[in-house]
This record gives sequence, C-alpha cells and structure tokens, in this order.
Amino acid sequence: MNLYEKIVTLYPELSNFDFSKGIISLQNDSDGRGDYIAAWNHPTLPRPTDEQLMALEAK
Amino acid sequence: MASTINATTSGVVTTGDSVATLSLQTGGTTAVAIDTAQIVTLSKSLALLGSTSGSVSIAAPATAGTQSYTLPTAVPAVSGYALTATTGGVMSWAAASGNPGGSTTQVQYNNAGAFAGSANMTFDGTTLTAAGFSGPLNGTVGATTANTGAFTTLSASSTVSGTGFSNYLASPPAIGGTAPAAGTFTTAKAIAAATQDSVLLQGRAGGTGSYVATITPTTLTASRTLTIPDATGTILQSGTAVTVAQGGTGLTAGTSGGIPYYSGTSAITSSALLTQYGVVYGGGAGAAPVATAVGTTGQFLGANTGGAPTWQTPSGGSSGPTFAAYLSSNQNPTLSTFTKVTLNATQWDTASAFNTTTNRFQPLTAGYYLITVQANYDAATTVTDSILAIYKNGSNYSRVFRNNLRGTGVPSTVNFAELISAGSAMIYFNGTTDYVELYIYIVGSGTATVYNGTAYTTMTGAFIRA
Repeated sequence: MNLYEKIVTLYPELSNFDFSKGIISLQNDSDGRGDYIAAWNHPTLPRPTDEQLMALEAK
Repeated sequence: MASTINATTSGVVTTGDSVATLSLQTGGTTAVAIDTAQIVTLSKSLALLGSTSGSVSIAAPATAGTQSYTLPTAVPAVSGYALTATTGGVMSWAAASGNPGGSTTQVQYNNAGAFAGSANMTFDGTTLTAAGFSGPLNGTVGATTANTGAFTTLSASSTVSGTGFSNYLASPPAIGGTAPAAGTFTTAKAIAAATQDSVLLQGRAGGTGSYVATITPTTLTASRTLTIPDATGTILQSGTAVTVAQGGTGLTAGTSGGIPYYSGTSAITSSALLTQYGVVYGGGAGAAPVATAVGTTGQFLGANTGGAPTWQTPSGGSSGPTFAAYLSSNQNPTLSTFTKVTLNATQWDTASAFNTTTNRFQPLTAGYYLITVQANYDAATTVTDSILAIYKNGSNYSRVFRNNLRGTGVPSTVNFAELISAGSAMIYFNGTTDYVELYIYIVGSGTATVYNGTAYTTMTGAFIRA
C-alpha cells in the first residue's frame, strides 16, 4: 500500500481534486526516500500521523 | 833710556828698567813699542812681504777702540768655511750663512738685494701655502678646503702639468693670470679614471661654511654625456622622490599591479592592485582608477545602471547556455503522487548546467530561459488524469500540461491509454541557486510508466536574455 492508498483509506471522502489541486500534495523526489506528504492544506481533515500511516502499513 | 844699535851687528837689545817700554822710532816717531807685558804695538800696519814681490798689510781702523781677536786653534775642516768670531773676539771656522728675512715658515725672496719673507707664501715642511694671487684665481695651494673664489685642492693624486692643460685649452691661461677669452676651451677637462677623482663645486653664497658639492662618476661601461637644459631649475634631488614639478612622480613606492594617478592637481598616488584582465576606468576627481572584474567567454562590455562598465552576457543568440536532457530508462512513478522524472542523460549541455544525478537544470548565467518539457507515459489499466509540472527550487512553478477525464460532462468510461504531454515556461534564473526539475502526476490504475528516450520524455532549455 503506497502513501496515497493509505491516505484515501483513512479518508475515503478525499477525491482526485484534493490531490491534483495541491490541497494535499504527495510527492516523490526520486531520491530513494520514497513518497511523502509535501503539503496538507485540507480545511477539515487533519494530517494523518505517522502512527496512523504505520498502522495501515501493517495491514 | 836711549840706546844705539849697530846696524851691521846682530845682538840683543835689553832694558834694565822693569817699567820701561822698548820703542823703535823712525824719523823721530815711535813705530814699534814693546812693553813690559811683551805686547808689541805697531803704530801703522803690519806688512807681510810676498816671497817674490808685493806685500799684504794688516791694519787697524782709524778709530780702533780696544779690540782683541783670538785666532782659531786649527785650520778649517772643510774648504769654504768662513772665519767667524764671538763677541769676545774668539774666532773659529764655520760654514758660511746669512740671516733669513720675515718670520718662521715664510719662504725667502729677493727684496731689493736682501732676504725677505711674506705671510702670503709659507711652507711649514709639509704644506706650501700661497695667497695674494692677482685676478680671480686667488686661493690656497695645498689647502684641504677651498676658499671662496679659490682653487680647489691640489694633491699628489691630482697631477696638473702644463702639458696636460695644453691638451684641453687652445690657449691655456697662466694660473693667477687673466681669465681665458671666450672660445678658448676646446674640450671639456677630462678627469682621470681613478676612483677618488671627482669635481668639487663651491657652494653658493648663503650656504654653511665652505661646503662643496662633489660630482663623482660611477663605474662606467661607456662614455656618457649629460646635457644641461637651457633653463634654470633644480632637476634632481638625491635621497628623496623627484616631485611632479621636477618631472617625477613624487612617489617613493607604489602598489604592484597598480597605476599612478593624480590624486590632486599636483600629487600622484599609486592605485590599488588592478585585477588582471580587468578593464581600467576612471574613479573621478581625486579618486583612484579601478578595474572591472574579469569577463567570461562571450561576454561584452556594457554599462550598469550607474554607468560603470561591466561585463554582460549578450541577450539571446548562441552564446547563452542551452541543454537537452532526457530519461534514459523507463520510470514507474507512484500514482496520484507528484514524482520527479529522473532525467539522467543529456543530448547537449553547453554550460554543463544540467546535473544528471540530481536531474536538475541549474545555470550559472543569470537570465530568462525558455524551458520546455515533454513526457510519454501510461498506466497498466487506465489513466484518468495527469499533470506535467515544472518545479523551481523544489516547489511547483508551472503546471504546463494536464489531461483530466473526470471533469464535468466527461463519461466515466472514457480513459486514456497512453499520453504524450508537453509544455513550456519562461523562467528566470539568478545564475547561482535557482534550478528546475520535471515532475509528473498520474492518476489511474495499475502501474504507471514514463517512457524513456530523447523522443519521449525530455526537458530542454535555452537562454533567452539577461
């Protein structure tokens, strides 16, 4: 499960609009460090914690 | 007592009177008298007859007084000796001499037939001094310091002879005589090459004592000529900088690599070091000239906003950086994630400004660049949205292309199979830290792929203007 999939699992109400318009910006700099949240500007949904994401990783 | 001597008979004349004087008279006058002290008195003179003829007479003065002379005890030891006597009349033989005139050290001269001396000509056994010369050559011979208007020193090392003078004067004047007529000198006086030779010039009136200026040539490798200008002035000062008024710079030192400039109306100063290959331009009144920085290949000399010359990069043309980078192997970006396209090869990169490791274009020439990007990609199942973006300094700068099939009015069954997106942006680079990268955002299902190749996924750029 990649980062995008984890986030939409946490917040199913998110749409492509949120990711493509930069409200939530996921980024990968192709430097070996993988995907990361470059920006989280959603007005109501809080940025997921590392613990939440790690928990989804185990599933 | 009276006695008669027979003239033809030899005998002894005696007188028995102890106080009487024996007298010989002729014609009734006493000619010879012998007193009781055995002193013989002649009334006239003593005549000694020559063995052949003639006679030598010894006579007393007419008014003789009372004098007594005692002859030397021996004949003269050296021929030519003269007979001298003490005040007591004791005579002896001695070398003939006369009494000198004048005072001690004064040289004797004939003064109307008599010895005489003068303070103007003395000799103390070492130094001969003469004064009182007539004309302008008044001076002292042998003095160590010249007097005003006098000869300079004549020493044993400065040989002056009549022959030597004749070599250089058409009509050599006599020392102490009148000045030579104009045009008499035909050749400058030569000075012997001895190291101690020099020319002494008497200091002008108003100076201290009898100081002189000494002109001494250095070791010469050829004959040199100094020509004095037809003007009055001080041309050189030893031991200090030659002033601007004297034709010098007034500087005792300068800055290596600098240039002298007028820091005032009559003062010259050394500027600071001027950059190698820099172009020198004026600093304004009283200020030092300065130099531009070093230009680089292709730059031209322009002016900044203040008017100062500065190297500038020409706008456009072929002199600015340009590059073409591409993806050399397929890349699989994460869906719905802005992923940097790893442009890891170049077709050209004139300024070595594209880094194939960091996949960045970072030019070192400031200016405006036209950046164009292109990507060929798909996803294994569907592609419903995609964005091609140029990032500047790590942030989204320009989304140059987007394909979104999930907009209003588009059926949800419509999907892309494979796309080629392209776009461009005009971007300013500061020439130091600014850089750009290509990011791609793909929405779909299955594994997304960005295809490699110079014809498929590229970033190109060119300098447009400064």
